Amino acid sequence: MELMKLVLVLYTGGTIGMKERDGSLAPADRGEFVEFVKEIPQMHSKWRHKQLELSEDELVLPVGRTKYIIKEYPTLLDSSNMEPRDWNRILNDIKENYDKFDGFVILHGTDTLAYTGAALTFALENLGKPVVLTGSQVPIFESRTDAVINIIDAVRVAETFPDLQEVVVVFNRQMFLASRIEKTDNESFQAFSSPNLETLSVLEPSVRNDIHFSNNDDLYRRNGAFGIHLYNGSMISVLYLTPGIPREIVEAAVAPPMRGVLLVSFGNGNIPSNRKDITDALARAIGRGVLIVNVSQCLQGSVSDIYETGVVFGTIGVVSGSDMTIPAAYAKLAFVLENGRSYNEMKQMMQKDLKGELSRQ
Amino acid sequence: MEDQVNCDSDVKCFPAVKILRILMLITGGTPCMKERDGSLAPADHGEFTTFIKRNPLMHDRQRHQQLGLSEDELVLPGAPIIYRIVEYPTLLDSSNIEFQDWNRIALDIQENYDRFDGFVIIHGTDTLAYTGAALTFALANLGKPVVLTGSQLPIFESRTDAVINIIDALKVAETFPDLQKVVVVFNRQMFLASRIVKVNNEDFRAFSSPNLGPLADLNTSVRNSLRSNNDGLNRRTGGFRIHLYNESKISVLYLTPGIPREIVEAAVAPPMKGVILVSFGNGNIPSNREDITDALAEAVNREVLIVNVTQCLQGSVSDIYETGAVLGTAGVVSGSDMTIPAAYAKVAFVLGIARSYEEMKQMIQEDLRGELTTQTIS
Repeated sequence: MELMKLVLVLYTGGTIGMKERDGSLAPADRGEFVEFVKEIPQMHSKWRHKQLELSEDELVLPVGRTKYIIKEYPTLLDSSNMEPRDWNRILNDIKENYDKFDGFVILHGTDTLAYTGAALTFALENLGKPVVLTGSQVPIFESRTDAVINIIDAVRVAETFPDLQEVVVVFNRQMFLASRIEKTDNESFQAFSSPNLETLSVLEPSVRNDIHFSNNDDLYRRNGAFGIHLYNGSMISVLYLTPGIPREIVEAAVAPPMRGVLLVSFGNGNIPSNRKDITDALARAIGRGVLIVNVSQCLQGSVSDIYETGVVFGTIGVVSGSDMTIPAAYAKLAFVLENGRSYNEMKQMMQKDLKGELSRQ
Repeated sequence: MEDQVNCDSDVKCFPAVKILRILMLITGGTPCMKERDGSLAPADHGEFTTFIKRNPLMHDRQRHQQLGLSEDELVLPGAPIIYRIVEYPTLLDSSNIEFQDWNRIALDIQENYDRFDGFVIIHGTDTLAYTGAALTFALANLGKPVVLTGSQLPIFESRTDAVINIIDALKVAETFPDLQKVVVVFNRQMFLASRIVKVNNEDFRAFSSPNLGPLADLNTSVRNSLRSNNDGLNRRTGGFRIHLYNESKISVLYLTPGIPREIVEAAVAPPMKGVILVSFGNGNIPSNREDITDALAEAVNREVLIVNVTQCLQGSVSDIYETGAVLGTAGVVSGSDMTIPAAYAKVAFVLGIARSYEEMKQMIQEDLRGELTTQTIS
């Protein structure tokens, strides 16, 4: 008998475990989710469970070498309600169970999964095991659900990709780097896309075990023991540019107590060059030590300074966010604000490829 | 060459085809840019037009002569199209476009409305979606095509997409004689202007229309797959007229996990009159953040117009989740599947035109020009 992989599944909430109530979707009763999973033959083999003499809380896939334990959060979260303290909770759970398991699966609502995925990516230091986020577009209790396949694919990652030591997202038969995804579709089963880094793997009937990392693996080499960073509630604003954006909004976005600003600009990272009030406000904020990072409103592509309007930024000290998504840049800002030891180090960290979240220019 | 030689008069060239006159407004953008000191900046005044006149794909000099046209008229080869180019005295980088620039374009269309059969606006891609939506709302009872286009590479570079985009845009009036909409032509496709977002900085396919298919694919044989979405709603009820935009105080409130209270409050505080709430997934906001719902409800009481759209490229807001239902109660208006640019322009339009707060809320939810999909109860 080959050695079994043991995976911890943290069920944090989301559509995956929701039931319709009075025309609105709300979390099912406590324990209902796990009981239901145990009844689905693709997800749990009662026969193997008995044969392998597994414990009460262990589940086992009908084929392969993966057994898993589902831990349901006492208060299930709609992913819209996720906050930095919830990121910390997941981090602490991974840390506490790090040595006992071969991999971790986080069941999460799709709405803010991209934010949590990026937050975990930065906060898990010297990760040596796979952490897989997944969720579903249709609750597990409905027959057309995508939850069953998404969970199975996620749970199997540790077995399928034994060397994977990253935070990834498995969804709709694909595996992505977690810091690269965005929710791009509310209605399709293909909820996520990874606009600036190709899919790590396509989970077809025969899984192509050819993980593409566009970045050098040695960048992320582990240079110490596994550890976690915790997030404080950082004061970070999103300044989404629009034609004729009111001055007051720009000023509020960079005013104290904001410490970080995610500037979501036009096209290749452009801001109006004829709006001195904007550049002045940004420059003043930078003078006060506010960290301002520029990302694009475009789904795909990167900020650069080939246009006149983009060049201004280098001068006043706005940091290029390269091709980071909004969720990745937001989580990275939160991480950097707490872990950079000086303003210069913060700026440097923002522009550096820490965990594969951006493409070096 | 042979048919051109035979083509000694208009009638002979285009039997039974009416000559269409198109006005092309060059507002600026990448098509007119040139590299200078490693950075792209607008070419000198007139340079763009001169360059087009020299391009045999874009201007038929022989026919120009034969037809005895004036200096500022151009002839599109092989088409019954005569066009005039007006370069804006100051070419605009599209990042610098503001409300007054939308008005300038609308006024230029109004002033020339009777003399031309269609209009082409050359615009930078960065804010083209905003201008496209703004014109869509500003042009009432439009009876002619208004086509926005631009390019990813300047017309002065050999790999440019400007030539084909401009030609396709110019031909819209001929190809779709009944089109009376503001559309965008880009990379061989035609979209409803109020439906597009710029999704790609680097591809020639810069735009996508996530919630409404392209109006037509401009392939070798143009599929006249023109979808007349909600034409009944877009019916003309009078003569052509334009709406001018005032500088509007509209904020974009982009939700993030743990969003600071201060930002929410600033986004809805005076002098803001409109707020585009960019929420999670199907239009969800945190249900455990009373400070957010309170701030929104308080602003609604002051008759601030708050419109909910999603961070998702594709899809619509709805209230099937607990967190979404809260918003209806607070008086936040559903923006359905409107894009951020469309919602922004529509709020600016509605703030300027509606006579009451109730009417504003109603107009936002109504399909005025095809910019949103009216929700059906499933």
